[in-house]
Amino acid sequence: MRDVLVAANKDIRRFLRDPAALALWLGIPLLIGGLLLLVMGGNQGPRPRVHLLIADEDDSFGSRLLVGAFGQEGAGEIFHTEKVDQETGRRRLDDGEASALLVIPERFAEAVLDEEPTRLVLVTNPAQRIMPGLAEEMLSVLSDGVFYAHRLLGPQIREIVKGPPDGNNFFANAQIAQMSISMNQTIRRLQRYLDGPAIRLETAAVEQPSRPAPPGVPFAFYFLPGILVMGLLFAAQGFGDDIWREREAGVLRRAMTTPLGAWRLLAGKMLAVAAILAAILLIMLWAGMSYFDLPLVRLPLALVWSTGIGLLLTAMMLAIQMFASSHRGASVLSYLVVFPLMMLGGSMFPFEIMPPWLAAVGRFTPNGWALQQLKAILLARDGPMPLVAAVALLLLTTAGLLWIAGVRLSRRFARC
Amino acid sequence: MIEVEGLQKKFGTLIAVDNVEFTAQRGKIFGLLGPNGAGKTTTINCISGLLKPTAGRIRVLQQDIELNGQAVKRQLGVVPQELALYEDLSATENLRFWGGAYGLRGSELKSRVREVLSQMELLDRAQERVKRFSGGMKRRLNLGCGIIHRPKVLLLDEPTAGVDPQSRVRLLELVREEVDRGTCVLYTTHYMEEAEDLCDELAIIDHGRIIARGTLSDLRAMVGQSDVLVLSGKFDTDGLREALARIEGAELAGVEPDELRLVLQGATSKLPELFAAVAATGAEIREATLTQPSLESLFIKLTGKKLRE
Repeated sequence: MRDVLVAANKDIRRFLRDPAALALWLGIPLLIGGLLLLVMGGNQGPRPRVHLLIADEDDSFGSRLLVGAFGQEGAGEIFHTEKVDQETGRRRLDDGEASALLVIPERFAEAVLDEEPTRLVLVTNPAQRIMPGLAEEMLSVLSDGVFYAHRLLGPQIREIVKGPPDGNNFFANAQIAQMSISMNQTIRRLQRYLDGPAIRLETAAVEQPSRPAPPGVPFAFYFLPGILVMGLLFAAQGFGDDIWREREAGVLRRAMTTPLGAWRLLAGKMLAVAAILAAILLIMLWAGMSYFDLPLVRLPLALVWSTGIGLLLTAMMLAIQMFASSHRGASVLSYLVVFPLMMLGGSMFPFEIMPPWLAAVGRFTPNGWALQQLKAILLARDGPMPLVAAVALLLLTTAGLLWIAGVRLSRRFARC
Repeated sequence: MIEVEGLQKKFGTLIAVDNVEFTAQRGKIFGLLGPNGAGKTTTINCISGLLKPTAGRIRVLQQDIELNGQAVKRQLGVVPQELALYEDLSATENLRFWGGAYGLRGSELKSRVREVLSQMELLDRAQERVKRFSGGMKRRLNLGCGIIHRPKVLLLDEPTAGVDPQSRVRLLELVREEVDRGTCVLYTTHYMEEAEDLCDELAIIDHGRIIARGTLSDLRAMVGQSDVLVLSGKFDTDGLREALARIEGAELAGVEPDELRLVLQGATSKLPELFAAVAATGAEIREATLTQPSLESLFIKLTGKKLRE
């Protein structure tokens, strides 16, 4: 055991001499995770809206209908309209205070009803691209709507716009009824063409009955275990790479001529990896759990499990890299393993947002499996028995991979 | 001591070491002299347990290396040809690690680290990372890591390769200090001068086989009073053999189109006759070098080529 400690002490000192590598192994996943979170809507800030200035020079019933359409349900979430006169509107647009200015000319409604040509002017802010485009699209849709409404309900609308006959202030009940019936009949006639067979889309989130999503856990939480495991994958790759650096320095061969030998050297390396990872994971887990308000009483178990995952992945990387014929080959081989595992195993994209079939495959990758257990520990989802079984499997797999690595190291890798 | 009997090591069809036999004594330096690729390092690797011999027996301190590997390794110090050091650690940390690997602990380790640092003249750079050391300093530390546990048997594989003359002198002094302590040293080199200067007993190895063995005086006796004449120029190899066969005491050791090597008895008296004979074959002589009897001349006599070819 003292020999193992000698080897571990050496590796801990060496790893600490290269803090940049440690920071990179764990910093890159944090960066990737943070970016992914932002891309996928983790940002809780207000949505950007199209600021549309409207110069309504017609100020009629028809023009008000057009302006009101920008504030309807749905469109109202996207558009923020503000009435201005044309001169003010142009000045403010020049100052970059809005996305677009819509100018509704005088006699707009009248021209529409009389089927005379009229022109709506949309002036866009050249400094913006998406927002003015949205205003243009919306106006185009509304223009089509106005055209079809006029074609179908032109006489009725014309009567409404003209106002009550004989100088009255209000329409008589009979007139209102007549217009309503007439409009209703037109719509009914068209209904069979306009309304196709009803297709109603129902969506339901299928939850695994044994693992209900805990209330109050934000979506961003699902990135935490993935980021941790991604960091462990990178770290494992780095630790695996270290054995090649030792070989190239000739120290492995020299160590084989000492009583230390390959197995104690390997055990020392794993002990050093465990110590380094435990220290870093402690900080990362504490920060993550505190951020998501998870009870810190689960921290020790999560720490032990995460360190175990780190050892499993390191043993895997050691075994893989030692079968390569050169250092460069080992690097390529390890990347070929790390990136697919990262993509599939829920580290880059949480299983929750992956297609179900892909998530099912990903759960069988070593990191995917380990990640699920970590999530279960953090959310206190499973009872003790599944955890005991998982720990047993973790120990067995790690031991198996270490055996492969040790045999390779002692019989060939360290002697060349 | 080291006893090697009938050692053979094959790599596939290549026989790297073939029937090597020698004995290295306590308090003496046994040198393995030979060109690069002769089998010196393979022999050392077999003795240190790094390689498993194909055939033969190796005993170190009366113990079979294959049967008692761990026990032997505790008494064995190995200084490999490459600088097998952790360059990201300091000299002290390197010595502590290798001392620990050989089983030293606590105060014993601490005092030995200090002693070795002093012996290697590295005390003032003890805490500095090895990657900042000069080549000579690294070589000294490389040696220090091999002797930190005071081994009874020390295997030195070309420990002076690539170092400046001053560092070489210091390294050789350090090796002598170890021998004076009673350590049995096996020393491989392709520097003839080093072997002549340092070794009590020598074996000359080429193509995996020992071609001569004995003390320095034994080996010199094998050369006799022969001088070696090396001629450079253009030579007709067929005509030369015939012409030289007529000169008594001149032995053709090796001949190539641009170089001729001859072993001569009574060199000075034979030179005019020899030059005339060579010139008569139509050869062009551009340079002639006459060397006194040495290991180099023995090597040429035995193999027909120079040691560093």
